[in-house]
Amino acid sequence: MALEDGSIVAKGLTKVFQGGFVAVDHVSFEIKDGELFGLLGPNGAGKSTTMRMLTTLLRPTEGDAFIGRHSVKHEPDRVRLLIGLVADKLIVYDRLTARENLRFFGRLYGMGGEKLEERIDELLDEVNLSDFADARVGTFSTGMRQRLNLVRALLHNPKVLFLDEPTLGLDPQTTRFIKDLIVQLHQSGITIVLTTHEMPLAEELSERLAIIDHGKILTIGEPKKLEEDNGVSNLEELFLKLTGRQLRDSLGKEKAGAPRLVRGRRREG
Amino acid sequence: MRMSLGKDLKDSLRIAQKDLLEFSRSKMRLATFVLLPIILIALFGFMFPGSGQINHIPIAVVDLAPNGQGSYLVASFERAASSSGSLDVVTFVSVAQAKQAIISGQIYGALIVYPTFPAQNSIVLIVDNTNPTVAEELRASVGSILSSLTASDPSPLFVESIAPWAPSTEFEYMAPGFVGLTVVMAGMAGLAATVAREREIGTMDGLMVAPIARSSIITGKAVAQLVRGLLQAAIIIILVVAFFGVKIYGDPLLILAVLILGDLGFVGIGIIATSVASDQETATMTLMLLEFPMIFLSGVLYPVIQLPWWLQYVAKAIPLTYMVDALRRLMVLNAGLSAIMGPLLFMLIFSLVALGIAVPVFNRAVTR
Repeated sequence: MALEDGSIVAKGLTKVFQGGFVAVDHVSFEIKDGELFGLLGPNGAGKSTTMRMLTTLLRPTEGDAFIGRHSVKHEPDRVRLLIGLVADKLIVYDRLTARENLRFFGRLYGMGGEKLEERIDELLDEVNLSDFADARVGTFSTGMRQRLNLVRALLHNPKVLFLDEPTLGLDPQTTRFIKDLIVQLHQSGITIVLTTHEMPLAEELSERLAIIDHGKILTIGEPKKLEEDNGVSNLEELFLKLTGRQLRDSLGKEKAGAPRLVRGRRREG
Repeated sequence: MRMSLGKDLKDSLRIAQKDLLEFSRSKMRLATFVLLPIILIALFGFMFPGSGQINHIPIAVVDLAPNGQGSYLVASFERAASSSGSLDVVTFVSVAQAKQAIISGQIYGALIVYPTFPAQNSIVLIVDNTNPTVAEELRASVGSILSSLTASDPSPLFVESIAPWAPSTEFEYMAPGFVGLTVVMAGMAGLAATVAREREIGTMDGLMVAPIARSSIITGKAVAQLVRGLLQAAIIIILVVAFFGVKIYGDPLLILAVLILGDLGFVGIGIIATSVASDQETATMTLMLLEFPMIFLSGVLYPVIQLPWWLQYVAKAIPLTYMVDALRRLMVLNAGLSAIMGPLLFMLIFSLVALGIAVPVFNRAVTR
């Protein structure tokens, strides 16, 4: 076994942005080594900010988090070696080929030579991009680019993989493919932190999950158990029950507008 | 955990290489990259700025006439010059000293009274002909003062050039300015654009999450911009030499050193603007605001001395002025290191200060 482990501990993690907006408010949780953990919440709840602090992209205002026992605040370089990031925006260069992209990032992680080339071939093969290794990424479809983006994050064999909306805007085939890949990665023992708005996906994949709103954790645990405890039948209902009021209000307004449109159309027809 | 300097450097070079590779892949950008210097040179190669009244041109007087024969003339000359305000006269003891002062830019000309005075051609005016507007003005001012002082006809005045090898055209004066301007613009605007672009498309996160120093990211990008700037400078140099009869006399290595040193400071300004601005457009607009006055005030197009006195102070606060000045001396006057020490020192201080502010500002902007 490797010496480093992929556990995550957040202790009173807090981010206050300029102007005093508290995006994440004293959040504490633990994710075990090898766990597949879902991080859910409405837009603006603090998911991305939490993830950016865990991945050393944002410095916590207060509190700290530890990846494999290394502080994101004090040992960011150690943490960076342990983690892979699939952010909400793709981290690939359109003007470079798939191979050039992977080679560039691999070298930033201190990889090189034959070993890097072999790893690139292996990873491209895994996501069915071998035939396009030397084509420019700008010519790729969204699905192909996300597949490349995923293996880019895996180049250096990270212990923890952060996935921020990995299936956003993808067709069902690619979504399926990426879902299978996540399962496969989970089975290989890597810790995975997943944020998504797709409740069925989160319910199916997460061993445990947390629902965040207004910068605070509302609930944390196994999805089935949380649903039972709250007397709901699926994750979406749980999500709406816990974070719902505002969401239902805005949905209500839209509903009020809809029938009028429908009536209007009927008259025309 | 601190990484070693060697690794930081290697990481920057990788980022530089990646940036250049990306750049080379865009045909449109490559085309504009090559076209910009060509258009610039074609435009200004045929456009000569008109001359205005220039005052307080520094000039030296060297009196070599024996037994004080020239002292009356010299004293009258100084009096006439100071009362008209056209010239600022200083006294030097030897021709060599005066010539050195011209090369290092302290004065624009020297009036030498030779021992044969008052014979014909015994008074020689040496002008800095790399600065044709000023040289012409000097010739006219000195000529009119002398003809009012000496009744003799033909006039004893004979005009010499400090760089007789150089064909003195306005364009020769401007060419070194364009070389400097190109490098600086690439460093400033190009850097801002590439950093802002990576932030907007999201790839900056990929660099930030890699185990590399924050400063490697920004230095890598700066190196890529420097390479681009130097390539454009090379295009300009080739064009002016091939098509506009400009000759370059100075040491190529010294020219390169001045270009790199000057570029560093402006890269710093570019980094600061990029870090402070929220998006690419704002960064570009902020830099445009800085670039335009620089183009007109730093002596690229018009000699600084031709500006109104208060604008001369502004010009002297602009680092590009010193860079262009040093380049001009190097390229046209074949000045040595000692003659450009002043501007070099200013550029060095400017670069250190600009980068000293820029790197922490950038680090803070990207980590928050």
